[in-house]
Amino acid sequence: MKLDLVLEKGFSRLAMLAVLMAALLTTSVTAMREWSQQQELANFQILAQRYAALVEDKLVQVEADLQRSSASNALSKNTELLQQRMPWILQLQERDNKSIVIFESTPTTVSLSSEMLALSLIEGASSLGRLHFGDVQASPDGEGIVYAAWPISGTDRYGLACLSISKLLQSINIASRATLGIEAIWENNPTALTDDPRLQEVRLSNSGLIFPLRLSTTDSFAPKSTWQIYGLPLMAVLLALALSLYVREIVLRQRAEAITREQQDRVQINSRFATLGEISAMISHEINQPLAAIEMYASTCEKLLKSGASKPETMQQALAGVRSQTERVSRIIRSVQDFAQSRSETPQGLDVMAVIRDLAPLIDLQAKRLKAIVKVQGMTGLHIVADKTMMEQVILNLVRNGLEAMRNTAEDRRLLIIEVLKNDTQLNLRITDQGSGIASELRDRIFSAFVTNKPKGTGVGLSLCKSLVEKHRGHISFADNPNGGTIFTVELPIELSKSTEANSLKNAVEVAL
Amino acid sequence: MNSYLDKQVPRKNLVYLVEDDLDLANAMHMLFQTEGLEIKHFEDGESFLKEVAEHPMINPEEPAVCVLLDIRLGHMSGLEVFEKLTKNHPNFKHPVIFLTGHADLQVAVDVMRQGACDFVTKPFDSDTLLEKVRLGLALSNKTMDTEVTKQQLNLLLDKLTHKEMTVMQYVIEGMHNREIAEILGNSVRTVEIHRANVFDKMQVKSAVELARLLERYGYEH
Repeated sequence: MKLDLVLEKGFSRLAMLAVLMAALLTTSVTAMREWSQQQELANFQILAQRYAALVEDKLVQVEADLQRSSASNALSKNTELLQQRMPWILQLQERDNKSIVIFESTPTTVSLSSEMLALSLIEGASSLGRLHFGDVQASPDGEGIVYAAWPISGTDRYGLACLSISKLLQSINIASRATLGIEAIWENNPTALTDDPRLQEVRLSNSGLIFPLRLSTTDSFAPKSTWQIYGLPLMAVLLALALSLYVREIVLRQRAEAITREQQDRVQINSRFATLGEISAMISHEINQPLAAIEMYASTCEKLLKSGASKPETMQQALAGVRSQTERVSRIIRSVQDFAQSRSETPQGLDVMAVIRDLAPLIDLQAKRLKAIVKVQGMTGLHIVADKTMMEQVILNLVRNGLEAMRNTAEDRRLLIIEVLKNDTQLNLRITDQGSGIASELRDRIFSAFVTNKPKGTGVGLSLCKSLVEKHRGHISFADNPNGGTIFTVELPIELSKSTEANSLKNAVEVAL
Repeated sequence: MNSYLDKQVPRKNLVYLVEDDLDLANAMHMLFQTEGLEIKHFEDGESFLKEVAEHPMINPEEPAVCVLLDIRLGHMSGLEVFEKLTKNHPNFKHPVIFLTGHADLQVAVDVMRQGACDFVTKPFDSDTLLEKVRLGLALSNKTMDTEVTKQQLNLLLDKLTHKEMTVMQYVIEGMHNREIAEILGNSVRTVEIHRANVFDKMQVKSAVELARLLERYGYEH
């Protein structure tokens, strides 16, 4: 039962730990990814600042030019100025604090210089927020390409554009088109633009290069779906749960097997090797029940007689009860007798070591319970003539006594040694414990009935052993173990005809831990 | 005193026997019947606990009960039954007497510590058993008297208005109507009416009687 509890606790702790670990892992992976994305953005921003500085220089130049012209009509002057430098500009308008550049309508004939574009972007962005320029890269056709990004104020979006230095604006995202007010230009060349509102990266229309900044990861053009946010942790938790269920299944199965084994062992003990104490407790309970009933029936009759109330019917019932309960008692006694008789003596040739080996599971169980080590050593093939059950009783009683005597011994010293030795024509079965020894006042009569060295002993075990051993023409004695504890020795005559092939057991067999 | 609360409600006595041995139960049944004690037999802990759940203790119509609980029962042991009883039915305040074998003596001592009323060892002497059961029933009666009256007192107290409750508290402190009227800012006449209502609702005739009644049942003001 205790083992079950430990397993149960251990298991649930394990499961909790697994779930926790999984959640932790997922969180840290997500965090790592976000961190690396932020690093990416930071790197880009450093580059962008460098280009921004360049653009600002240019802006200063443009501003100086503008100031040189008339200040009264800045816009028309601007247009003039721009048209001077970029003759294909049709018109420059101002709308909602934005400068709008209107170009010639056919992009194929228009060569949109990067300068102009930068300018228009600056015009648009300067009123809206900071402009960042990205890296300059060489496109496959040998042209330089500028990537630009700028935060669109009031939103969490970025304007994105990709410009080829000599010719065309390659692509631009929707957010920036609206804020710049230059969407009309590309109407005739829609393939250059990606209209997907969930645009997450800017692609170059002709080279297919990918814009180096993936904004979707930091501010995103599309809100993350619930699945994207919770999906991975959820999966992890589910996985952990499934795993723990699987582990639980295994643990449960193993436990069930262990329990069945233990139960089988126990049943074996109960049916064959219940101590007299256990048997007597069982019998006394069985007999006390009808005795109590008899007493009450008798008492009922007595009371009825005393009171003078004439209730022959009740009296009759009570007396019938007494009779049936008496029968019940005799039935119990009969069954006890049957049980005792079933253990009738049948002497046979026995290899003592084999008997011990057969008992190993039981000894093992007891040793485990008392956290002791049992070592079996000696010779195989030594035969005696004895009743098997009785021999088993003797061995088990002595082993049990030895183990129980070590209850107060330090755990690392709880060693019980069972030896089977040959001494001339005698077989010596020696059981050595490192227990508390036998109290001096009991030494003379330890084999007498109802004398016990144990706090809860019945005083039957050793006297039973003695009578069983003597029945087999043997002798039982004890001596002090020089290492502390007691050595019990059972001497029995060897059946020589069968024992010729006796071998000394080379390796000590460790029965239990 | 002719207060309703002081009337002792005549109550039935009942012995609950939880015993899986039918022969023993039968013998006990006969003995108790001869002695004029009614017995109700349960073959296992489950059916006994079911009965308890259906009959909450504090009810003037319920009988006084003494429980005889066998420590060795088939499915659920007597100890488990007792544990469940004390844990799940704290209102079941009837005494429990354990029936134990000689070998269970240590267990019996333990259950006494956990709040069992008494125990008898099998095979028992009928007179000892009967004596213990009668003592148990007397104890149950006493507990029920207190519990039932306390409950009825609460019913009466529930009928009082807030104002009457206030007046009652001053009354049992021994104040005169005039003093109370002064404190509450009412006319003496009003206080007199409240006081009469309190006496009427609490079914008493005097302030002394009222104070004694409340004190006896642990009413705290």
